[in-house]
Amino acid sequence: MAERPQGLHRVGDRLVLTVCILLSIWMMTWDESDRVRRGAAWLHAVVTPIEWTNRFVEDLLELERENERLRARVAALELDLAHLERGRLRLEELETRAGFYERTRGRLAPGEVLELVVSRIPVQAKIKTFGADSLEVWMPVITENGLAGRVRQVLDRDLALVQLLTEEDSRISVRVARTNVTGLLRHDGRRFFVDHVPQGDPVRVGDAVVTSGLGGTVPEGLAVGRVTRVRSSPSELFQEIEVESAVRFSALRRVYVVTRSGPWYAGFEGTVSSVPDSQRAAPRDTSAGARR
Amino acid sequence: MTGMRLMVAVAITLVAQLAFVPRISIAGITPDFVVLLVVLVALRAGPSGGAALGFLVGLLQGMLAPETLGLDALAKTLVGWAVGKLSSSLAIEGPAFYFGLVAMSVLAHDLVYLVGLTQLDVARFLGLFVTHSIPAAVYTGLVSLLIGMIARAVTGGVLNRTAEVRRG
Repeated sequence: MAERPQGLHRVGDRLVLTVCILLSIWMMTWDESDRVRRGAAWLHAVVTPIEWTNRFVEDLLELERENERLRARVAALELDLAHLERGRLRLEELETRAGFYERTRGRLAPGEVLELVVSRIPVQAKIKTFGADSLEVWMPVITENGLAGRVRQVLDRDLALVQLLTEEDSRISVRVARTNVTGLLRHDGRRFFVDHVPQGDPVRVGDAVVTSGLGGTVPEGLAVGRVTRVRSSPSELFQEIEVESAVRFSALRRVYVVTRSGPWYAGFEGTVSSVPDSQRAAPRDTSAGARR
Repeated sequence: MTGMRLMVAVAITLVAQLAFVPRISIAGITPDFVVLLVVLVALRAGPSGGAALGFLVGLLQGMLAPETLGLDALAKTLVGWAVGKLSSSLAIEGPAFYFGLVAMSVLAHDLVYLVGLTQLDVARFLGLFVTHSIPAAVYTGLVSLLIGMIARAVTGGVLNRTAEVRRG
């Protein structure tokens, strides 16, 4: 490449010098307030991208650490899942050998609450379902947080009145998941209790309470709530067990009716997104065999 | 010096001037690393490069103390240009030369800066120049010697390479 002529070099040097000097003097002619304002604005413009870059790099590093943690967690959960799957297969095998039949889970029909009947607290709900299944009396009604009630009266094939667990007449057979102690769930207008649990039966605070399936109308294993208080007295025949439900009865909007045929979600998989995966069970062929 | 290396050098120098230099002050006198950088770059890049870098770092320093925005840029532009110009016409080398060059650059810079800052208030100008600028020029010159020795020991010499460029 040819070198620039010396004269051109000198002109370039002087041009740069002149421009820099003129710019400097131009800035010095500003009022002090202008200098402060513009100086602060320029500094902000210079520093902000550096701060962004710094924050971006920090976020990236944090993301990498978080990713590593999640990978480790996923690996642990995969192991747990494999272990549980082996357990489930073993259980099914044992049940089959013992002569038990496939447990019918029922099928969920999504619906929405049209009205709530309130007597201090909501005790009944009028619901409308979407789907081909016809409603029948005593079909369980659940939410993503657990059992909410049962169909009390069918008004139409997709319209029904639901008796919520909070109605004082409602009685549902439940069991403590950890120990299989069974009792009857009732609501006294303020709190849930599990009645008819003899003194000495193992129940403790924090135990999960699920449906027992003994009543014949509600499938076994639906979540009801957790034990919040246990009172044992030698002078009493039964323990007083208080339970808290995770269902927010005053905010019931979307519900699911457990119809009597098929596995969960058969027929409308993918159309209901608000139900957590924990409630999704693998579809099973329930055509063979009767209920336990 | 590539653009990226120059930017890194500017950033490190500004940070050092703000954060490190106050720690090595002697009786309130601090070395001026920014002028030192302008001198080093002007020796390599010539008058236009020195003036442009002087303007740039002066502007950045002015943003940090915007009351004197423009004054820093003007002083460092002139120093950068003058050192760049001088580098192509002088054939002297050695530590004493660099000490003198850096010290004179600091004095020239402060001369311009203080004239603008004091607005030709002679008493104030002389007071600041004698009590601050001259000691700071000596201090900066000594620091430049120290840095030169360290650089020579570590990499073969920044100042030597600068001299080679000048000879070339």
